[in-house]
Amino acid sequence: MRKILLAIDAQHLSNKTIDFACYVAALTKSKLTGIFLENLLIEEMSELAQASSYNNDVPLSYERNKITDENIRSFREACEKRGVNTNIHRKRGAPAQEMIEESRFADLIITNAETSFKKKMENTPSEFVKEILEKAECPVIIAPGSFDGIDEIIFSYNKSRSSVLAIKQFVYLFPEFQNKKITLLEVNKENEIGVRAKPRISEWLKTYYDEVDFKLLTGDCEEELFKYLLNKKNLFLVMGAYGRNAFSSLIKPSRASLIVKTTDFPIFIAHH
Amino acid sequence: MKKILFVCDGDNFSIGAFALIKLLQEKEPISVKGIFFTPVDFQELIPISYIPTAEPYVKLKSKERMIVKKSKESFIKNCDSLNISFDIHDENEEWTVESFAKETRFADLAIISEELFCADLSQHQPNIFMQEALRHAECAVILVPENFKSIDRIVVAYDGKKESMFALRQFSHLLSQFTDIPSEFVFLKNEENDEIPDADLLKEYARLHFNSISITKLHIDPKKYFASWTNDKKNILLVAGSFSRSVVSELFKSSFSAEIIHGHQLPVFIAHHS
Repeated sequence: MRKILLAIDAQHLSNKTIDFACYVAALTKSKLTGIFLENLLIEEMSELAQASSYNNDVPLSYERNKITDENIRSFREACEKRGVNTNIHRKRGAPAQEMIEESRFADLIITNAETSFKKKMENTPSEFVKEILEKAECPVIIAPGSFDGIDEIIFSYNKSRSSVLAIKQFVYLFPEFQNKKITLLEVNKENEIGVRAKPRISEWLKTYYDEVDFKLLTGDCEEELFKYLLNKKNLFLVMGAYGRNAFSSLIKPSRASLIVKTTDFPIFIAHH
Repeated sequence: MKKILFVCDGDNFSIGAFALIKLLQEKEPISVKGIFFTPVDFQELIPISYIPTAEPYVKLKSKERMIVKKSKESFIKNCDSLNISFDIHDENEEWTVESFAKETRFADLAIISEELFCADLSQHQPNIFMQEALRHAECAVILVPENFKSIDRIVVAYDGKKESMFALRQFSHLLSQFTDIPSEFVFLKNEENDEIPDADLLKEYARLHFNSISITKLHIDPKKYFASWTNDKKNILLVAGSFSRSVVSELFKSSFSAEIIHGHQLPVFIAHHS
């Protein structure tokens, strides 16, 4: 059993993210802990604004609490329908900081790339997600926009300690994927020979998986990765530290028309 | 299947370390890679370096290779008798920390003798080679005493910080076959109050991964008294997150797990995040 945290904006529930999180929880026979996050600073500013407008309506905090309570109820029901047990932590403070503190005592965080606690519309990934990716003390999975199962695991590998660590963390957390198609995708810069470490990574992977496909891409890491993954479906992508940057590139605003396709798979990011 | 490194210098073939490998194989099949390297004997090497011919050096190296060959043969014989899948590191047999680190990058666990590792150089453990190995390892390490028999209880050294939780998580992922046995989470601080940092979150995590848990605060100076506290407990495995690379010798000086290692008392599981 793993301790799986799902980062939830207490004011905005995402059913698709819950779908994916329940899939992971059910697969690993784990409880799902919903971390309902409320940005205290935003709330206080909103209340101040309301107070200064001499508005005699019901206090904003009452409305917000009502929405949060309703979302907690909906989350519980959604998980129950999918046969997943839940736990709820309600956090009112700085959302990213709260998640980072929780991550020390967790095996995994699942979050949606768009989860944001700012009043203005943000780019994806949001500042909240970027901060989680940088500072979380456990691996993070960016949930897909829509989800239809997993047929293939792609390990993104660049010979670095970080990429091996990410692969290890994924292997330890998800022995349930042992029988899926496994691909080790190595991305090298131009003119770099990337064979020397291959026997070692190959030797280690084969203690866990019967068959591993190897693919070598050469060129700009983010660009080549993006091209390779375009139009692929039902895969789980695993990345190390550079995944934080590569992930942002995968869904740059300039590629907005491809966002749904390129992020239609979950991305597991771990780093040391 | 997990990939375990069995690390051996010269003829310091560790019976204790192999006993642990046998125990792991009994729980679930493992794959073991033997990492053998020639002993570093400065007492022989230094006078030889003054002699203007190569012959004494060549003879010394040949003698060292024979010693390593004997250890390799013991390793093969033991693995065969227990039906353990094995391999042997076949590169240059001189110890370099870079080579060791590279092997650990592609392994799940390294097992090293708590007493014998490079003991020809210094029997005062952890000696400089062990310190290097622990600092640079890119996988978890278990240090094993020669009198190792079994593991009946887990003791987790907890201080609420990132490193101790990382070690705990690594242990619960890598050695989940031991999470059924009684496990004690110990917070050590010489102070009067009973507070344990983030006790609720620790309890929540521990309950999901371990069958039988207790959480204790010891109001003692860990450096002075933890070794004594563990002394009358039999067959325990200590889980610790020390030997972080960033605070090299100072951390080592203050590390209570160094006291345990020095006393060769019990096996220590060390994992760190750096």
